[in-house]
Amino acid sequence: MKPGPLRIALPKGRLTDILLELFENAGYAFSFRGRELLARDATGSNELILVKNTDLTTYVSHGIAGLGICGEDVLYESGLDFTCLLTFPFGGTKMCIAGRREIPVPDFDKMTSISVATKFVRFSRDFFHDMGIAAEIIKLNGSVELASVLGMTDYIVDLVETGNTLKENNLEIKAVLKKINVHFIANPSYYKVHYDRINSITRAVGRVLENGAIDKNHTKNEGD
Amino acid sequence: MKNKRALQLPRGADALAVNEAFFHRKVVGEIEDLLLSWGYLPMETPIVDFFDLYGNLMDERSVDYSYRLIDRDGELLLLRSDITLFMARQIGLHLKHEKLPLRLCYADTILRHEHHGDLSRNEFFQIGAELIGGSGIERDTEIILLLADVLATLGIDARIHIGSKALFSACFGGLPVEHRNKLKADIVRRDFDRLGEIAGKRKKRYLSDLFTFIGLPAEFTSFCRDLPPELRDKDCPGDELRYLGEICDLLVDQGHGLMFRVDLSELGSQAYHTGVAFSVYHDGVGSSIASGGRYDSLLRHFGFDAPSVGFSLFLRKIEPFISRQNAFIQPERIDVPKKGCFRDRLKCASEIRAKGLAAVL
Repeated sequence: MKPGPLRIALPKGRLTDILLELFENAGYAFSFRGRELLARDATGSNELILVKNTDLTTYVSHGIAGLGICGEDVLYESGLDFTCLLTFPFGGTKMCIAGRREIPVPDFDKMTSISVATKFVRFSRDFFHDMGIAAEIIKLNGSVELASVLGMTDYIVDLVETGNTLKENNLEIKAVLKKINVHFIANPSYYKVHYDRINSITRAVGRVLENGAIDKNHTKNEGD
Repeated sequence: MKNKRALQLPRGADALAVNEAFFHRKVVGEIEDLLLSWGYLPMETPIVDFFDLYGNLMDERSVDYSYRLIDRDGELLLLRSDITLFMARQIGLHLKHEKLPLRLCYADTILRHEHHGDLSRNEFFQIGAELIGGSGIERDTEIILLLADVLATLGIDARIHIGSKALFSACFGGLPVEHRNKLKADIVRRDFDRLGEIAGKRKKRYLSDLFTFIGLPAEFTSFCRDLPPELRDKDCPGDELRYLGEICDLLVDQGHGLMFRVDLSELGSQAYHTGVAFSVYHDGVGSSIASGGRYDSLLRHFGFDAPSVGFSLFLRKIEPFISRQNAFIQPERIDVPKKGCFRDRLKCASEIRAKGLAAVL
Protein backbone atom coordinates (compact mmCIF):
# COMPACT_ATOMS: atom_id res chain seq x y z
CA MET A 1 0.00 0.00 0.00
CA LYS A 2 1.37 3.41 -1.00
CA PRO A 3 2.25 5.44 2.10
CA GLY A 4 0.30 8.66 2.68
CA PRO A 5 1.86 12.11 2.51
CA LEU A 6 4.18 13.28 5.28
CA ARG A 7 2.32 16.05 7.06
CA ILE A 8 4.19 18.91 8.71
CA ALA A 9 2.54 21.44 11.03
CA LEU A 10 3.85 24.99 10.87
CA PRO A 11 2.95 27.71 13.35
CA LYS A 12 0.91 30.58 11.97
CA GLY A 13 2.86 33.76 12.57
CA ARG A 14 6.10 35.47 11.82
CA LEU A 15 8.07 32.25 11.35
CA THR A 16 5.80 30.97 8.59
CA ASP A 17 7.41 32.73 5.64
CA ILE A 18 10.96 31.89 6.74
CA LEU A 19 10.06 28.24 7.16
CA LEU A 20 8.35 28.08 3.77
CA GLU A 21 11.49 29.59 2.25
CA LEU A 22 13.63 27.05 4.10
CA PHE A 23 11.61 24.11 2.83
CA GLU A 24 11.64 25.48 -0.70
CA ASN A 25 15.42 25.77 -0.59
CA ALA A 26 15.51 22.17 0.64
CA GLY A 27 13.54 21.04 -2.39
CA TYR A 28 10.05 21.03 -0.87
CA ALA A 29 7.97 23.85 -2.31
CA PHE A 30 4.56 24.46 -0.78
CA SER A 31 2.10 27.19 -1.66
CA PHE A 32 -1.18 27.99 0.03
CA ARG A 33 -4.09 29.09 -2.11
CA GLY A 34 -6.11 31.95 -0.66
CA ARG A 35 -6.96 31.23 2.97
CA GLU A 36 -6.35 27.49 2.76
CA LEU A 37 -4.59 26.03 5.76
CA LEU A 38 -3.31 22.91 3.97
CA ALA A 39 -0.88 22.75 1.08
CA ARG A 40 0.82 19.90 -0.77
CA ASP A 41 4.14 19.96 -2.56
CA ALA A 42 4.37 19.22 -6.27
CA THR A 43 4.99 15.51 -5.70
CA GLY A 44 1.98 15.15 -3.41
CA SER A 45 4.19 13.24 -0.98
CA ASN A 46 4.36 16.00 1.57
CA GLU A 47 1.77 18.29 3.15
CA LEU A 48 1.95 21.41 5.24
CA ILE A 49 -0.73 22.62 7.60
CA LEU A 50 -0.83 25.99 9.33
CA VAL A 51 -1.95 25.84 12.95
CA LYS A 52 -2.07 28.09 15.97
CA ASN A 53 1.31 27.95 17.70
CA THR A 54 -0.06 26.66 21.00
CA ASP A 55 -2.13 23.96 19.25
CA LEU A 56 0.79 22.58 17.26
CA THR A 57 1.89 20.04 19.86
CA THR A 58 -1.67 18.69 20.09
CA TYR A 59 -1.76 17.97 16.36
CA VAL A 60 1.65 16.30 16.44
CA SER A 61 0.96 14.38 19.63
CA HIS A 62 -2.14 12.82 18.05
CA GLY A 63 -0.23 12.00 14.89
CA ILE A 64 -2.54 14.16 12.75
CA ALA A 65 0.59 15.99 11.72
CA GLY A 66 3.53 13.66 12.10
CA LEU A 67 6.03 16.51 12.11
CA GLY A 68 6.01 20.05 13.42
CA ILE A 69 8.10 23.13 14.03
CA CYS A 70 7.73 25.07 17.24
CA GLY A 71 9.54 26.80 20.04
CA GLU A 72 10.88 25.09 23.10
CA ASP A 73 8.46 27.15 25.19
CA VAL A 74 5.44 25.52 23.53
CA LEU A 75 7.07 22.07 23.74
CA TYR A 76 7.82 22.46 27.42
CA GLU A 77 4.36 23.75 28.33
CA SER A 78 2.73 20.82 26.55
CA GLY A 79 4.47 18.31 28.82
CA LEU A 80 4.49 15.88 25.91
CA ASP A 81 7.37 13.86 24.49
CA PHE A 82 8.49 14.36 20.92
CA THR A 83 11.38 13.18 18.80
CA CYS A 84 13.90 15.96 18.17
CA LEU A 85 14.98 16.19 14.55
CA LEU A 86 16.73 19.56 14.29
CA THR A 87 17.32 22.77 16.18
CA PHE A 88 17.07 25.87 14.00
CA PRO A 89 19.65 28.66 14.26
CA PHE A 90 16.89 31.25 13.79
CA GLY A 91 13.66 32.14 15.52
CA GLY A 92 15.14 31.70 18.98
CA THR A 93 14.44 33.95 21.90
CA LYS A 94 14.93 34.12 25.67
CA MET A 95 12.74 33.26 28.63
CA CYS A 96 13.31 36.02 31.14
CA ILE A 97 12.15 37.23 34.49
CA ALA A 98 11.29 40.91 34.30
CA GLY A 99 9.82 43.59 36.52
CA ARG A 100 9.52 47.32 37.18
CA ARG A 101 12.82 49.19 37.28
CA GLU A 102 12.61 49.85 41.02
CA ILE A 103 12.15 46.16 41.84
CA PRO A 104 15.46 44.48 42.69
CA VAL A 105 17.03 41.68 40.67
CA PRO A 106 15.82 38.48 42.35
CA ASP A 107 18.56 36.67 44.26
CA PHE A 108 17.67 33.05 43.58
CA ASP A 109 20.26 31.81 46.05
CA LYS A 110 18.61 33.61 48.95
CA MET A 111 14.94 33.65 47.98
CA THR A 112 12.55 31.15 49.53
CA SER A 113 9.41 32.23 47.69
CA ILE A 114 8.35 34.31 44.70
CA SER A 115 5.17 35.46 43.02
CA VAL A 116 5.14 35.72 39.23
CA ALA A 117 2.58 36.27 36.48
CA THR A 118 3.16 34.32 33.28
CA LYS A 119 1.75 32.40 30.33
CA PHE A 120 4.36 29.73 30.99
CA VAL A 121 3.06 28.05 34.11
CA ARG A 122 4.82 24.71 33.80
CA PHE A 123 8.19 26.26 32.95
CA SER A 124 7.97 28.80 35.78
CA ARG A 125 6.89 26.21 38.34
CA ASP A 126 9.66 23.77 37.41
CA PHE A 127 12.33 26.49 37.18
CA PHE A 128 11.66 27.90 40.64
CA HIS A 129 11.11 24.49 42.24
CA ASP A 130 14.46 23.31 40.83
CA MET A 131 15.98 26.35 42.58
CA GLY A 132 14.24 25.37 45.83
CA ILE A 133 11.94 28.39 45.67
CA ALA A 134 8.21 28.13 46.43
CA ALA A 135 6.38 29.86 43.59
CA GLU A 136 2.96 31.45 43.40
CA ILE A 137 2.12 31.39 39.70
CA ILE A 138 -0.63 33.62 38.29
CA LYS A 139 -1.59 32.45 34.83
CA LEU A 140 -2.26 35.07 32.16
CA ASN A 141 -2.84 34.50 28.48
CA GLY A 142 -1.45 37.75 27.09
CA SER A 143 -0.09 41.26 27.84
CA VAL A 144 1.67 39.76 30.81
CA GLU A 145 3.64 43.00 31.28
CA LEU A 146 0.51 44.59 32.74
CA ALA A 147 0.70 42.34 35.79
CA SER A 148 3.94 44.00 36.83
CA VAL A 149 2.96 47.49 35.66
CA LEU A 150 -0.23 47.39 37.75
CA GLY A 151 1.44 45.74 40.75
CA MET A 152 -0.37 42.39 40.64
CA THR A 153 3.05 40.77 40.92
CA ASP A 154 6.56 42.21 41.17
CA TYR A 155 7.84 39.86 38.51
CA ILE A 156 6.71 38.35 35.26
CA VAL A 157 8.19 35.41 33.34
CA ASP A 158 7.88 35.85 29.60
CA LEU A 159 9.62 35.46 26.27
CA VAL A 160 11.75 38.47 25.40
CA GLU A 161 13.26 39.21 22.03
CA THR A 162 14.17 42.88 21.59
CA GLY A 163 12.86 44.00 24.98
CA ASN A 164 11.06 46.96 23.42
CA THR A 165 7.68 46.15 24.97
CA LEU A 166 9.29 45.95 28.40
CA LYS A 167 11.11 49.25 27.94
CA GLU A 168 8.00 51.04 26.74
CA ASN A 169 6.21 49.90 29.91
CA ASN A 170 9.08 50.91 32.23
CA LEU A 171 9.99 47.31 32.87
CA GLU A 172 13.38 45.69 32.51
CA ILE A 173 14.86 42.21 32.25
CA LYS A 174 16.09 41.09 35.66
CA ALA A 175 17.60 37.79 34.53
CA VAL A 176 17.64 35.43 31.56
CA LEU A 177 16.26 32.11 32.70
CA LYS A 178 16.71 30.04 29.54
CA LYS A 179 17.56 30.36 25.88
CA ILE A 180 14.58 29.20 23.84
CA ASN A 181 15.23 27.58 20.48
CA VAL A 182 12.94 26.52 17.67
CA HIS A 183 12.87 22.81 16.93
CA PHE A 184 11.80 20.49 14.16
CA ILE A 185 9.97 17.70 15.97
CA ALA A 186 8.20 14.45 15.19
CA ASN A 187 5.56 12.36 16.84
CA PRO A 188 7.69 9.49 18.20
CA SER A 189 5.49 6.75 16.77
CA TYR A 190 5.14 8.51 13.41
CA TYR A 191 8.93 8.83 13.30
CA LYS A 192 9.38 5.10 13.86
CA VAL A 193 7.00 4.25 11.00
CA HIS A 194 8.36 6.85 8.53
CA TYR A 195 11.95 7.26 9.74
CA ASP A 196 13.55 6.89 6.33
CA ARG A 197 11.41 9.62 4.70
CA ILE A 198 11.68 11.86 7.75
CA ASN A 199 15.46 11.47 7.93
CA SER A 200 15.60 12.37 4.24
CA ILE A 201 13.67 15.62 4.69
CA THR A 202 15.61 16.41 7.87
CA ARG A 203 18.94 15.98 6.08
CA ALA A 204 17.80 18.19 3.21
CA VAL A 205 16.72 20.95 5.60
CA GLY A 206 19.91 20.50 7.62
CA ARG A 207 22.04 21.00 4.50
CA VAL A 208 20.27 24.28 3.73
CA LEU A 209 20.95 25.48 7.25
CA GLU A 210 24.61 24.46 7.09
CA ASN A 211 25.01 26.34 3.82
CA GLY A 212 23.73 29.48 5.55
CA ALA A 213 21.00 30.00 2.97
CA ILE A 214 18.70 31.18 5.71
CA ASP A 215 20.04 34.12 7.67
CA LYS A 216 20.21 33.20 11.35
CA ASN A 217 19.27 36.79 12.16
CA HIS A 218 15.71 36.00 11.13
CA THR A 219 14.91 36.20 14.82
CA LYS A 220 11.18 36.52 14.30
CA ASN A 221 9.11 34.97 17.01
CA GLU A 222 5.80 35.62 18.76
CA GLY A 223 7.55 36.96 21.88
CA ASP A 224 8.85 40.53 22.08
CA MET B 1 -35.50 18.02 33.48
CA LYS B 2 -33.01 15.61 31.88
CA ASN B 3 -30.09 14.50 34.03
CA LYS B 4 -27.02 15.68 32.08
CA ARG B 5 -24.87 13.15 33.93
CA ALA B 6 -26.78 10.38 32.20
CA LEU B 7 -25.37 11.67 28.90
CA GLN B 8 -21.77 11.91 30.06
CA LEU B 9 -18.92 9.63 30.97
CA PRO B 10 -16.28 10.68 33.49
CA ARG B 11 -13.24 12.09 31.71
CA GLY B 12 -11.06 9.27 30.47
CA ALA B 13 -13.61 6.47 30.81
CA ASP B 14 -14.36 4.11 27.96
CA ALA B 15 -17.49 2.33 26.82
CA LEU B 16 -18.29 0.11 23.88
CA ALA B 17 -21.57 0.02 21.98
CA VAL B 18 -23.11 -3.35 21.10
CA ASN B 19 -21.42 -3.99 17.74
CA GLU B 20 -18.07 -2.69 18.98
CA ALA B 21 -18.30 -4.83 22.09
CA PHE B 22 -19.10 -7.95 20.06
CA PHE B 23 -16.17 -7.31 17.72
CA HIS B 24 -13.84 -6.64 20.63
CA ARG B 25 -14.85 -9.84 22.44
CA LYS B 26 -14.38 -11.94 19.29
CA VAL B 27 -10.92 -10.49 18.70
CA VAL B 28 -9.93 -11.12 22.29
CA GLY B 29 -11.19 -14.69 21.94
CA GLU B 30 -9.16 -15.27 18.79
CA ILE B 31 -5.98 -13.94 20.40
CA GLU B 32 -6.55 -16.01 23.51
CA ASP B 33 -6.95 -19.12 21.35
CA LEU B 34 -3.68 -18.30 19.62
CA LEU B 35 -1.86 -17.77 22.91
CA LEU B 36 -3.25 -21.07 24.16
CA SER B 37 -1.92 -22.79 21.03
CA TRP B 38 1.55 -21.59 22.06
CA GLY B 39 1.04 -23.02 25.55
CA TYR B 40 0.15 -19.79 27.37
CA LEU B 41 -2.51 -20.13 30.05
CA PRO B 42 -4.63 -17.23 31.28
CA MET B 43 -4.06 -15.51 34.59
CA GLU B 44 -6.21 -12.86 36.25
CA THR B 45 -5.02 -10.06 38.50
CA PRO B 46 -6.86 -7.88 41.00
CA ILE B 47 -7.89 -4.41 39.86
CA VAL B 48 -6.44 -2.72 42.95
CA ASP B 49 -3.47 -3.42 45.13
CA PHE B 50 -1.36 -1.68 47.75
CA PHE B 51 0.64 1.14 46.18
CA ASP B 52 3.65 0.70 48.44
CA LEU B 53 4.33 -2.74 46.94
CA TYR B 54 4.95 -1.19 43.54
CA GLY B 55 6.08 2.40 44.17
CA ASN B 56 9.80 1.55 44.08
CA LEU B 57 9.40 -0.41 40.86
CA MET B 58 7.77 2.42 38.94
CA ASP B 59 9.57 5.37 37.40
CA GLU B 60 8.33 8.92 37.90
CA ARG B 61 6.27 8.87 34.72
CA SER B 62 4.55 5.60 35.64
CA VAL B 63 3.65 6.98 39.06
CA ASP B 64 2.36 10.19 37.46
CA TYR B 65 -0.04 8.39 35.16
CA SER B 66 -1.33 5.95 37.76
CA TYR B 67 -4.60 6.36 39.63
CA ARG B 68 -4.31 6.05 43.36
CA LEU B 69 -7.00 6.05 46.01
CA ILE B 70 -7.40 5.76 49.75
CA ASP B 71 -9.49 2.83 50.94
CA ARG B 72 -11.81 2.83 53.94
CA ASP B 73 -8.94 1.74 56.20
CA GLY B 74 -6.71 4.60 55.10
CA GLU B 75 -4.51 2.44 52.90
CA LEU B 76 -3.11 3.94 49.70
CA LEU B 77 -4.14 1.73 46.80
CA LEU B 78 -3.03 1.60 43.18
CA LEU B 79 -5.55 1.00 40.41
CA ARG B 80 -4.09 -1.47 37.94
CA SER B 81 -1.97 0.51 35.46
CA ASP B 82 0.38 -2.27 34.31
CA ILE B 83 -0.72 -5.88 34.30
CA THR B 84 2.85 -7.23 34.24
CA LEU B 85 3.53 -5.58 37.59
CA PHE B 86 0.38 -6.97 39.16
CA MET B 87 1.04 -10.41 37.69
CA ALA B 88 4.55 -10.41 39.13
CA ARG B 89 3.14 -10.08 42.63
CA GLN B 90 0.50 -12.77 42.05
CA ILE B 91 3.12 -15.14 40.68
CA GLY B 92 5.26 -14.53 43.75
CA LEU B 93 2.24 -15.25 45.97
CA HIS B 94 0.70 -18.28 44.27
CA LEU B 95 3.02 -19.82 41.72
CA LYS B 96 6.49 -19.78 43.19
CA HIS B 97 6.53 -23.52 43.66
CA GLU B 98 5.46 -24.22 40.09
CA LYS B 99 7.91 -25.75 37.67
CA LEU B 100 9.57 -23.24 35.37
CA PRO B 101 9.19 -21.96 32.74
CA LEU B 102 5.66 -20.71 33.22
CA ARG B 103 3.77 -19.48 30.19
CA LEU B 104 1.02 -17.06 31.19
CA CYS B 105 -1.28 -14.67 29.36
CA TYR B 106 -3.84 -12.04 30.27
CA ALA B 107 -6.52 -9.82 28.80
CA ASP B 108 -7.86 -7.04 30.97
CA THR B 109 -8.37 -3.35 31.53
CA ILE B 110 -5.84 -0.90 32.94
CA LEU B 111 -6.20 2.74 33.89
CA ARG B 112 -3.60 5.37 33.07
CA HIS B 113 -4.02 9.12 33.29
CA GLU B 114 -2.19 9.88 30.09
CA HIS B 115 -2.35 13.67 30.04
CA HIS B 116 -4.40 16.19 31.98
CA GLY B 117 -5.18 18.31 28.96
CA ASP B 118 -6.09 15.41 26.72
CA LEU B 119 -9.70 14.30 26.70
CA SER B 120 -8.93 10.91 25.14
CA ARG B 121 -9.56 7.66 26.98
CA ASN B 122 -7.57 6.79 30.08
CA GLU B 123 -8.98 3.28 30.16
CA PHE B 124 -7.02 0.78 28.05
CA PHE B 125 -7.43 -2.87 27.27
CA GLN B 126 -4.18 -4.81 27.49
CA ILE B 127 -3.68 -8.30 26.15
CA GLY B 128 -0.32 -9.94 26.59
CA ALA B 129 1.90 -12.84 27.43
CA GLU B 130 4.69 -13.48 29.93
CA LEU B 131 7.33 -16.20 29.74
CA ILE B 132 8.45 -16.68 33.33
CA GLY B 133 11.74 -18.37 34.11
CA GLY B 134 14.82 -18.77 31.99
CA SER B 135 16.82 -16.35 29.93
CA GLY B 136 18.64 -16.54 26.67
CA ILE B 137 18.01 -16.19 23.02
CA GLU B 138 15.37 -18.90 22.71
CA ARG B 139 13.10 -17.35 25.32
CA ASP B 140 13.50 -13.82 23.96
CA THR B 141 12.91 -14.93 20.39
CA GLU B 142 9.89 -17.01 21.37
CA ILE B 143 8.09 -14.04 22.89
CA ILE B 144 8.91 -11.78 19.94
CA LEU B 145 7.70 -14.41 17.47
CA LEU B 146 4.53 -14.89 19.51
CA LEU B 147 3.85 -11.15 19.28
CA ALA B 148 4.48 -11.30 15.54
CA ASP B 149 2.06 -14.20 15.26
CA VAL B 150 -0.66 -12.26 17.11
CA LEU B 151 -0.25 -9.31 14.75
CA ALA B 152 -0.20 -11.54 11.66
CA THR B 153 -3.32 -13.40 12.81
CA LEU B 154 -5.18 -10.10 13.07
CA GLY B 155 -3.82 -8.94 9.73
CA ILE B 156 -2.08 -5.95 11.34
CA ASP B 157 0.67 -4.50 9.15
CA ALA B 158 2.93 -3.15 11.88
CA ARG B 159 6.64 -2.93 12.55
CA ILE B 160 8.35 -4.38 15.61
CA HIS B 161 11.32 -2.25 16.68
CA ILE B 162 13.84 -4.17 18.76
CA GLY B 163 16.47 -2.62 20.97
CA SER B 164 18.16 -3.35 24.24
CA LYS B 165 18.11 -1.88 27.72
CA ALA B 166 21.19 -4.00 28.39
CA LEU B 167 23.03 -2.08 25.65
CA PHE B 168 22.20 1.20 27.36
CA SER B 169 23.26 -0.20 30.76
CA ALA B 170 26.53 -1.45 29.28
CA CYS B 171 27.34 2.04 27.97
CA PHE B 172 26.10 4.13 30.90
CA GLY B 173 25.72 1.80 33.88
CA GLY B 174 28.38 3.69 35.85
CA LEU B 175 26.38 6.93 35.93
CA PRO B 176 24.27 7.96 38.94
CA VAL B 177 20.66 6.83 38.61
CA GLU B 178 19.26 10.31 38.10
CA HIS B 179 21.69 11.06 35.24
CA ARG B 180 21.02 7.67 33.70
CA ASN B 181 17.26 8.25 33.72
CA LYS B 182 17.61 11.69 32.12
CA LEU B 183 20.01 10.34 29.51
CA LYS B 184 17.64 7.47 28.69
CA ALA B 185 14.80 9.93 28.15
CA ASP B 186 17.10 12.05 25.94
CA ILE B 187 18.10 9.08 23.79
CA VAL B 188 14.48 8.06 23.31
CA ARG B 189 13.80 11.65 22.16
CA ARG B 190 16.97 11.57 20.02
CA ASP B 191 18.30 14.62 21.85
CA PHE B 192 22.02 14.19 22.37
CA ASP B 193 23.11 17.50 23.90
CA ARG B 194 23.32 16.01 27.41
CA LEU B 195 25.25 13.04 26.04
CA GLY B 196 27.94 15.42 24.88
CA GLU B 197 28.22 16.93 28.36
CA ILE B 198 28.54 13.52 29.95
CA ALA B 199 30.66 11.58 27.46
CA GLY B 200 32.68 14.29 25.74
CA LYS B 201 32.57 15.30 22.06
CA ARG B 202 34.38 12.32 20.57
CA LYS B 203 32.37 9.68 22.36
CA LYS B 204 29.19 11.67 21.77
CA ARG B 205 29.55 11.21 18.02
CA TYR B 206 29.82 7.47 17.99
CA LEU B 207 27.40 6.92 20.86
CA SER B 208 24.80 9.09 19.14
CA ASP B 209 25.42 7.15 15.90
CA LEU B 210 24.90 3.96 17.88
CA PHE B 211 21.67 4.93 19.62
CA THR B 212 20.12 6.54 16.55
CA PHE B 213 20.45 3.40 14.45
CA ILE B 214 17.18 2.11 12.96
CA GLY B 215 17.20 -0.40 10.14
CA LEU B 216 16.42 -3.81 8.76
CA PRO B 217 18.33 -6.78 10.16
CA ALA B 218 20.64 -6.81 7.13
CA GLU B 219 21.37 -3.10 7.62
CA PHE B 220 22.13 -3.78 11.27
CA THR B 221 24.66 -6.43 10.28
CA SER B 222 26.47 -3.91 8.05
CA PHE B 223 26.23 -1.26 10.75
CA CYS B 224 27.88 -3.51 13.33
CA ARG B 225 30.63 -4.46 10.90
CA ASP B 226 31.44 -0.77 10.36
CA LEU B 227 31.45 0.23 14.02
CA PRO B 228 34.60 1.76 15.47
CA PRO B 229 36.75 -0.70 17.41
CA GLU B 230 35.83 1.00 20.70
CA LEU B 231 32.31 -0.35 20.31
CA ARG B 232 32.76 -3.46 18.21
CA ASP B 233 35.51 -5.28 20.02
CA LYS B 234 34.80 -4.50 23.64
CA ASP B 235 32.87 -6.95 25.80
CA CYS B 236 30.36 -4.23 26.35
CA PRO B 237 28.52 -3.08 24.33
CA GLY B 238 29.84 -5.53 21.70
CA ASP B 239 28.20 -8.48 23.49
CA GLU B 240 24.80 -6.77 23.49
CA LEU B 241 25.08 -5.93 19.81
CA ARG B 242 26.04 -9.51 18.95
CA TYR B 243 23.05 -10.77 20.95
CA LEU B 244 20.70 -8.55 18.97
CA GLY B 245 22.32 -9.79 15.79
CA GLU B 246 21.61 -13.40 16.78
CA ILE B 247 17.95 -12.60 17.47
CA CYS B 248 17.74 -10.96 14.04
CA ASP B 249 19.22 -14.04 12.37
CA LEU B 250 16.53 -16.22 13.95
CA LEU B 251 13.74 -13.81 12.98
CA VAL B 252 14.95 -13.59 9.38
CA ASP B 253 15.26 -17.36 9.31
CA GLN B 254 11.56 -17.59 10.25
CA GLY B 255 10.64 -15.35 7.34
CA HIS B 256 9.88 -12.24 9.41
CA GLY B 257 12.78 -10.09 8.24
CA LEU B 258 10.64 -7.29 6.82
CA MET B 259 8.41 -6.98 9.89
CA PHE B 260 11.30 -6.13 12.19
CA ARG B 261 13.63 -3.22 12.61
CA VAL B 262 16.63 -3.08 14.89
CA ASP B 263 16.17 0.22 16.71
CA LEU B 264 18.82 1.01 19.29
CA SER B 265 16.77 3.87 20.76
CA GLU B 266 14.32 1.25 22.09
CA LEU B 267 15.48 1.11 25.71
CA GLY B 268 12.46 -0.42 27.43
CA SER B 269 9.13 1.27 28.11
CA GLN B 270 9.16 0.31 31.80
CA ALA B 271 11.70 0.89 34.55
CA TYR B 272 11.92 -2.86 35.25
CA HIS B 273 13.16 -3.83 31.78
CA THR B 274 16.72 -5.17 31.82
CA GLY B 275 17.52 -6.79 28.46
CA VAL B 276 15.98 -6.98 25.02
CA ALA B 277 13.24 -4.34 24.63
CA PHE B 278 10.77 -3.77 21.81
CA SER B 279 7.82 -1.65 20.74
CA VAL B 280 5.37 -1.98 17.89
CA TYR B 281 4.26 0.87 15.64
CA HIS B 282 1.44 1.15 13.13
CA ASP B 283 0.84 3.88 10.57
CA GLY B 284 -2.10 6.01 11.66
CA VAL B 285 -1.71 5.37 15.39
CA GLY B 286 -0.10 8.22 17.31
CA SER B 287 1.61 6.03 19.90
CA SER B 288 3.05 2.52 20.11
CA ILE B 289 0.47 -0.26 19.92
CA ALA B 290 2.46 -2.80 21.92
CA SER B 291 5.64 -3.04 23.91
CA GLY B 292 7.62 -5.53 25.89
CA GLY B 293 10.98 -6.78 26.93
CA ARG B 294 13.04 -8.78 29.33
CA TYR B 295 12.77 -8.10 33.05
CA ASP B 296 15.16 -10.24 35.05
CA SER B 297 14.87 -8.61 38.47
CA LEU B 298 11.17 -7.85 38.84
CA LEU B 299 9.89 -11.10 40.34
CA ARG B 300 12.73 -11.09 42.88
CA HIS B 301 10.93 -8.20 44.60
CA PHE B 302 8.03 -10.55 45.21
CA GLY B 303 10.08 -13.42 46.58
CA PHE B 304 10.42 -15.38 43.36
CA ASP B 305 13.67 -15.06 41.48
CA ALA B 306 12.77 -15.82 37.88
CA PRO B 307 14.20 -13.94 34.88
CA SER B 308 11.29 -13.29 32.54
CA VAL B 309 10.24 -11.73 29.25
CA GLY B 310 6.86 -10.63 27.92
CA PHE B 311 4.78 -8.17 25.93
CA SER B 312 1.48 -6.35 26.11
CA LEU B 313 -0.68 -5.07 23.30
CA PHE B 314 -3.16 -2.16 23.47
CA LEU B 315 -6.00 -3.85 21.67
CA ARG B 316 -8.38 -0.89 21.27
CA LYS B 317 -5.69 1.07 19.42
CA ILE B 318 -5.48 -1.53 16.66
CA GLU B 319 -9.05 -2.78 16.35
CA PRO B 320 -9.88 -0.29 13.58
CA PHE B 321 -6.94 -1.64 11.55
CA ILE B 322 -7.69 -5.36 11.81
CA SER B 323 -7.87 -6.43 8.19
CA ARG B 324 -10.10 -9.42 8.77
CA GLN B 325 -13.06 -7.36 9.90
CA ASN B 326 -15.47 -9.77 8.18
CA ALA B 327 -14.22 -12.63 10.33
CA PHE B 328 -15.64 -10.94 13.40
CA ILE B 329 -19.15 -10.01 12.29
CA GLN B 330 -22.14 -11.08 14.32
CA PRO B 331 -23.67 -14.41 13.27
CA GLU B 332 -27.06 -14.34 11.66
CA ARG B 333 -29.87 -14.45 14.24
CA ILE B 334 -33.05 -16.29 13.38
CA ASP B 335 -36.31 -15.02 14.88
CA VAL B 336 -38.29 -17.99 16.17
CA PRO B 337 -41.74 -17.95 14.50
CA LYS B 338 -44.35 -16.50 16.85
CA LYS B 339 -46.80 -19.41 16.64
CA GLY B 340 -47.79 -21.94 19.18
CA CYS B 341 -47.28 -21.70 22.89
CA PHE B 342 -44.10 -20.61 24.64
CA ARG B 343 -43.04 -24.24 25.16
CA ASP B 344 -43.29 -24.85 21.40
CA ARG B 345 -41.21 -21.77 20.65
CA LEU B 346 -38.55 -22.86 23.18
CA LYS B 347 -38.34 -26.26 21.44
CA CYS B 348 -38.04 -24.59 18.04
CA ALA B 349 -35.25 -22.30 19.35
CA SER B 350 -33.29 -25.32 20.67
CA GLU B 351 -33.53 -27.00 17.26
CA ILE B 352 -32.22 -23.87 15.55
CA ARG B 353 -29.33 -23.54 18.02
CA ALA B 354 -28.45 -27.23 17.55
CA LYS B 355 -27.69 -26.34 13.93
CA GLY B 356 -25.15 -23.76 15.12
CA LEU B 357 -27.34 -20.72 14.51
CA ALA B 358 -28.50 -18.05 16.95
CA ALA B 359 -32.21 -18.17 17.77
CA VAL B 360 -34.09 -15.21 19.19
CA LEU B 361 -37.39 -15.84 21.05
